[in-house]
Amino acid sequence: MWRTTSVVRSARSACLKACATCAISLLSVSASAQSAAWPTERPPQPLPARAITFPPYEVQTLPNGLQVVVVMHHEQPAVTMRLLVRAGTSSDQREKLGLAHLAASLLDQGTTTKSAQEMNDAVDFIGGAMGAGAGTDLTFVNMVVMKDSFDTGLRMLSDMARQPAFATAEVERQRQQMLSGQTVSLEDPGYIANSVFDRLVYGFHPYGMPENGTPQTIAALSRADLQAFHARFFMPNNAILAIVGDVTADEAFTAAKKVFGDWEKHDLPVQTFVGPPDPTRRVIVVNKPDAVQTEVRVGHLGISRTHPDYMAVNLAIRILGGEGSNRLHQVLRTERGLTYGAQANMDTLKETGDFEAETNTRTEATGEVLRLIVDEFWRMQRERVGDRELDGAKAYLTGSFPLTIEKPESIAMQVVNALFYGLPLAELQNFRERVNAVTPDDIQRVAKELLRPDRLSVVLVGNSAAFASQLRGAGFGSFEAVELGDLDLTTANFKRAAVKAQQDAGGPGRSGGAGRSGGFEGWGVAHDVNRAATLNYQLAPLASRPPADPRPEDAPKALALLDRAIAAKGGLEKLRGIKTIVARQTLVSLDSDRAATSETTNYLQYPDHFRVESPMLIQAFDGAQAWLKDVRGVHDGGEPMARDSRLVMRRDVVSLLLAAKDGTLTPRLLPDVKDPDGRVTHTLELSASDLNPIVLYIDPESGQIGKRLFTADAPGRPLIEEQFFDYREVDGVQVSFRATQKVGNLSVERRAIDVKINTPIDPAMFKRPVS
Amino acid sequence: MLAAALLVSGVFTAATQPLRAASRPPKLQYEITSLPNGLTVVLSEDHSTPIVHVQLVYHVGSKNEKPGRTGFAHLFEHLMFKGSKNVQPEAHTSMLASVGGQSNAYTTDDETVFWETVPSQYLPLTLWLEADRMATLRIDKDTFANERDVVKEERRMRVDNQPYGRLNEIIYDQAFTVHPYKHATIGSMEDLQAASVEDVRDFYRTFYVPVNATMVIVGDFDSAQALQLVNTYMGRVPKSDRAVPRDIPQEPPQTKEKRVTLQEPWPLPAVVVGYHVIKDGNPDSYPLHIAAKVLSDGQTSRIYKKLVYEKQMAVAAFGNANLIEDPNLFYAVAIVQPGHTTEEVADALIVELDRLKTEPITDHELQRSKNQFARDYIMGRESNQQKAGQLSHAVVIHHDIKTADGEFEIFQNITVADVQRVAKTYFRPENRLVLTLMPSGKAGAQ
Repeated sequence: MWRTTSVVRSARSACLKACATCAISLLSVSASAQSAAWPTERPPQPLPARAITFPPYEVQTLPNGLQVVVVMHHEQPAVTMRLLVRAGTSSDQREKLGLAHLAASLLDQGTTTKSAQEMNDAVDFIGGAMGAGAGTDLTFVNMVVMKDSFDTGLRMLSDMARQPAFATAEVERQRQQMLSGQTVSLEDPGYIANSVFDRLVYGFHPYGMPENGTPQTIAALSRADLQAFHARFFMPNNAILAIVGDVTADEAFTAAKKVFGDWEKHDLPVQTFVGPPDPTRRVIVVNKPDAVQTEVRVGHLGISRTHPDYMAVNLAIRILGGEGSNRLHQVLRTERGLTYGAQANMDTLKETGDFEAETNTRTEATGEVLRLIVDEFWRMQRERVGDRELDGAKAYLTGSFPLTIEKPESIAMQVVNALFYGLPLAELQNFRERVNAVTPDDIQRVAKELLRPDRLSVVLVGNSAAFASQLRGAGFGSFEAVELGDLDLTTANFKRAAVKAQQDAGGPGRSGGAGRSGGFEGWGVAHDVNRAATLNYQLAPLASRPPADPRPEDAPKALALLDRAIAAKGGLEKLRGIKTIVARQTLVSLDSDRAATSETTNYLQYPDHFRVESPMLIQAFDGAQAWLKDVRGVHDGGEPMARDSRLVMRRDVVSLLLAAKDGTLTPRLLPDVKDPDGRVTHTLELSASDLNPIVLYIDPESGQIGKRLFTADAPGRPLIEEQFFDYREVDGVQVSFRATQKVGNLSVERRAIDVKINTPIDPAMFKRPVS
Repeated sequence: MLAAALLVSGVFTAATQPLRAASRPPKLQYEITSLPNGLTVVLSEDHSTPIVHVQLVYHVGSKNEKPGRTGFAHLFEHLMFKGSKNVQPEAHTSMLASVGGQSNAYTTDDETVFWETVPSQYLPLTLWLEADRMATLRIDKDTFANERDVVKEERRMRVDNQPYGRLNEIIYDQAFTVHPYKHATIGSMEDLQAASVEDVRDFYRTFYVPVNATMVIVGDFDSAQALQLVNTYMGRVPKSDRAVPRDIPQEPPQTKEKRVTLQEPWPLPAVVVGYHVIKDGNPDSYPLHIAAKVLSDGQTSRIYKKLVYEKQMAVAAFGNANLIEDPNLFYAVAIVQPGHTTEEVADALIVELDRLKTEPITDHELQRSKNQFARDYIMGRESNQQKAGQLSHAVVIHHDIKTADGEFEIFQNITVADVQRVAKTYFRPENRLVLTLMPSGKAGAQ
């Protein structure tokens, strides 16, 4: 939920030393008439310091390897539980990016014993809260309950982690959410800047890849992938459980043993990653012409959490841009008012990490801000840090330590982090001593060893036309520019392959909104044609194909279901009697921008002729040659379009049913699908060695096809979902008068205006015109 | 001397028996008093961690701004970090950070809140810093101009450069005609530019005075000693010689439905359905909170379940009862899933709101909402800062510190009839705003 009105001021501080040099006091005018009477004085002395110890916690390892952390905290009658599994987005393979996120998002969406709705209702009703998520190196499930629901809560946590259902309907729902979420994220300049920076710094190491996946990889993720991810990593010897709150240690450990004791231990998978590249001086400018600010990221590869110089590096980066002493904030905000806030961060992950300065600034100040940031990296090496500046950073870290142990969850997270990274637990007790041991020499040594100001990676997201000319002045004469719409984090040059290929091909460009039209109950031609014209691709099995072989005893059931569908469509005789279909229809394309409406007429002649007419474009196939005609003339679609056209005709629903009946397609029964209301839908898969499987969703009552799913033969194998509504009878055949097709987050709706069956069609209409 | 004025929380009697005794959180323990200069002081000891949280609330927010000076309260909040007689510009933050403390501030429609969390031995420093800037803030032209640029940058970052960042601004601009809730706290670029140093001085003398402020201290301290320190530092801030103005224009009742369609450069269309409602603390406000929970809290809430989960017509959808000091809005927002029209989504939202009028919510929903409320209540009192927030809200907005605990019982006693009654009272067509926000061509080109 968005907060409505609150505006927060940044807490980033300026250093004392610099303020002492300000001359502002000479100019200032006191606003208070009482000021003269107000004493001139130094700040008061502190009270006697109170003792600080790391709060009590207990750790046990169960026989199955599960590490359990308990932090007792009895003020509020609540218990928080968190189970952390040591696998996150960095475990995603290149072609399965987004898998860990999709899997995590499904952990609280149903188990093998409770549907998503039942689970949510149960948790909401007891006034609990649950959540799940994936980080770079870990996945977690959370549960908060009132004390009297502790046992219930722990059992639900266990079910979420151990028995997720990955129900098909929930998978599709979360997939859509991920895809839609990306549409919004890709408008967020900060998100874009961070993603590009990670890719730039980590290269094709998993830390550099888009952790939320790409529309193509998300579309291709299957239930089997999710189950494999879960089976591979979710085991007690790869997990940490934290129980925090109003329980005793005995209660907590007893409950943990009771609930998690029977979780079976397995061998841990071995994972190997490609190494990240050496730091390289490289600038990526992402052009977002409507931006009023530029997002700026500057930095390079850093260290892992277990690096022996962790604490000295931590302090060095804080001096550059952290709390207690923030040079970037001082230079960019306090002295020049160029930004709302600036900071430097270091990510220290399991394998490696990065150093990153980040800020945002008004477009016209981009060059100056970049120059100033780069100079601050140099200054870390050039000048030895002063005692007072280092003391400020140290004082912040040591002083703020008690603030980090106020909430029981933050206490638990410190223990869990130590266990996760394999750090000695004693480090929790001697944190302040370790901070105070760092000297100015240490800072200079690590700055010289680990900072590479000559090899900075730079990302700028903004209106590049307005600042590109400033970059030379900031020391970056050459840079790579990418249009936001062409950005692809999975390619070496950050540009979508299709962009390049299309330019190279020099052939017909995209047909535009009006051209997004196609065959009858299997349109989507324009999509495929456009891509097919420029790219070659391999056929691959359907994303959602279940791993198991069909059970022989299901074969008669599959045939019976096929017969049901044929009967509901109008019966075998009727379907076999269809020679042509002419349909006039309105297509409403609901892209992310606007609703584009166009009227098309489709002419189908079975088995393999079609012609689709829309105002700007005609596409046709005569069984051998595919062609299209637009304002510039007639073009040969070539073999890719011809192949695609054949597929379109094969995927036509009437063709499919008849082919399955004739035995040229193999029908296979898939498990029934149950929707949230408990309504069951039968599913039938039709496939052949040269046709990607198509899954039909068949209403058990009417026998009508309500939906179908198949993967497109296009790069990334996007999943196409078509839903059919408003069946009406035309000459004894049931025809859907309203249908929607979704590909990723693109959606087209078709509304039939007029459908005629077996109207004679002039054969010349399918033939390519001479010119 | 002041000890005689202390009111100990145990004095008032326990309210009605709660429905779920097991989860009734402990009541906050506190003392409340006021200094001779008018400053209200609340102290609440909590010795579990050696830290202390100080929250100083000035009862002034963006609704106190004059036309043509929007954004002023928030801009002024920034200026409070620009130094005072004994404190250099920005030194407030850096002095506290150098001892490991955290400090920040925020501005809402109704309040401007300054807070610090420090290791407990630094309570004297914290009070000294707050007193210095309440009494002797430096206000000069250069600092002012520089900070104004920072605020403009903040506006660009938070609002202008974010998809849906302007959503609230648009909703409130359309929903209100004269009440200053019409404008966003961050203000407009033009007004920020027009603000002058004279405006700043006048604002400071009018609103940043002890009688308009409440200081809440929660954490590891001894109350007698803390009160003495408060008296030493805050007590010497002079009393104001002028009254704090409260002449805020009130919004006339809306008499007919308002439907508006606008274009914004956002990736997906959005639909807002809103109704004018009553202010925070009014008896009707509590059932409205329950209505908001039934509609929008959790994945089994009605709006989420219907629009996002079942019909998949919305990418995100939620309702919000924005119950604050003056009458505000109850509204629901949906980001439209491609493939659906804004009309069908708006209709679906209205159907859900109307259902609250035509049929009572179920007992199950009511109990769920109450349990969720108990959860929020407990989870909202974990840290010292959260406790201070509850106490200051009760004092400043409700003018009754007892509501910080008493609302628990009010919520547990709400009935399904109460919820239906308030739905009928407020969710009337003539009291409705339907706002459709279509992506403009610019974003669509991508």
